[in-house]
Amino acid sequence: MKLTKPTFLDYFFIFLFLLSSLFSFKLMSFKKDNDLFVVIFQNNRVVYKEKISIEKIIQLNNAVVEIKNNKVKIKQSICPFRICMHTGWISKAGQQIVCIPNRIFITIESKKKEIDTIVY
Amino acid sequence: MKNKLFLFCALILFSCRKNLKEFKEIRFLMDTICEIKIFCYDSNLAKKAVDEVFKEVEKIDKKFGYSKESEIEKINSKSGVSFCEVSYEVLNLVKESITLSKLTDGAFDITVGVLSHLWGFKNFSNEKKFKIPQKHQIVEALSLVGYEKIVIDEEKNRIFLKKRGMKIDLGGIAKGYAIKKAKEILESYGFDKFLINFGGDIYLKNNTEIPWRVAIQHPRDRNKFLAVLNLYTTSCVTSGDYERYFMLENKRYHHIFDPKTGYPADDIVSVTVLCEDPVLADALSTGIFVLGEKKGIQLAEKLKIGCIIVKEKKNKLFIYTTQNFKGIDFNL
Repeated sequence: MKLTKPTFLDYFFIFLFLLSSLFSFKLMSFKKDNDLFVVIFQNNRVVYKEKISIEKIIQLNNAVVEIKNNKVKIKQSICPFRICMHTGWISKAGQQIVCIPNRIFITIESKKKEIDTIVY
Repeated sequence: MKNKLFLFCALILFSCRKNLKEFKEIRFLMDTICEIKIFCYDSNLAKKAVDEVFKEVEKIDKKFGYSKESEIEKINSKSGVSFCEVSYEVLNLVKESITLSKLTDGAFDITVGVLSHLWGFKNFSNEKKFKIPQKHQIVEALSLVGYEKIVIDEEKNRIFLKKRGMKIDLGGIAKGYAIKKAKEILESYGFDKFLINFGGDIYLKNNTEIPWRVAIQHPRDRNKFLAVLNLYTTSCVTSGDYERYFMLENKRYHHIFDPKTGYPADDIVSVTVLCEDPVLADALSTGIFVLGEKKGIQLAEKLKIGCIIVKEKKNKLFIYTTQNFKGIDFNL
């Protein structure tokens, strides 16, 4: 088989191929990075981990968690100070709701990290 | 040809290089949420280190916590009666607390526990209603407050509280101590980048170029951060009036008491302290909160530590910082 020199069209198609793969990779990673997940721990165990876009009411021991409109809150809780309920809605990566008496910890995780931790 | 071969080998080696992975674990300990993040090559080693840390924290909680078996409760039960023998660890932390009380002119004081009980801020796990105590009750409680009423017998490892009914409470320093122990364990494993967050009190270690991004909670809006700081190796602790409080007739009553008045300290809304030692940071965040803005900033500058204070006047927030935080944009 005789090999011919690559033409301008060959280079153009290679360039197009590389560009499209780079674009699709960026698009995929962008979509992935912006996905927010609600992670709920109770008694040191992960009991729930789903995208924040999934609307849900979750019944835990002594507490009810609501996920709605890309936000999450503790709707009801049997605990003395109701600090967890006072926290209200959270919606950003890194934000947390803690209920010490019921040993519940809710956080929002994302692949794209804007913050590593919160001091409060 | 040699050059090409070298380049090829370098490329292979580079592509084989392991990346730092984040290892994270969360536990409920010391009546709070404890989180550890480690950047490492070996997750098994990180897991081993974290297990060792949490075991140590459990031990500390037993010694310094609120359970009847804790050494602190034993000291309290013998207040006004007799000396109580304690471990070297408890003796040293009580000694350090007294030093910090002197440093803050009594603003940080481990004997304020009686005030927390009186106002209904204790018994965290039990149903309890808050109340504003009568004046005479506060005066009575204040007679049991004062670090100078703690007697330490170093020769025999004993502690005595001079007045019956006195209580010491290491809540304002025990988390800092637990973080110090945790940091020592993680350092002994040789990790270059790790983060310890025990109930909002943090310690960061970072020998890499990429900083930790640490958000400071806005004291009045849960969905806002006061600032996001790029930090490397430091402790960072915040005390605020927004975590444990109750509202009565539009007035906020919170859990940080002024040992001199018996009422919640009311000059500051929140204070964030940054310094290397987590015990100092923990105690000073309370101490500076009680001291107030002017004396607090003066003390922080004297000790060469970082301090960010938020005050509230007529529903407006104001920021005061030590010199090393001037120029930072705060999101009020």
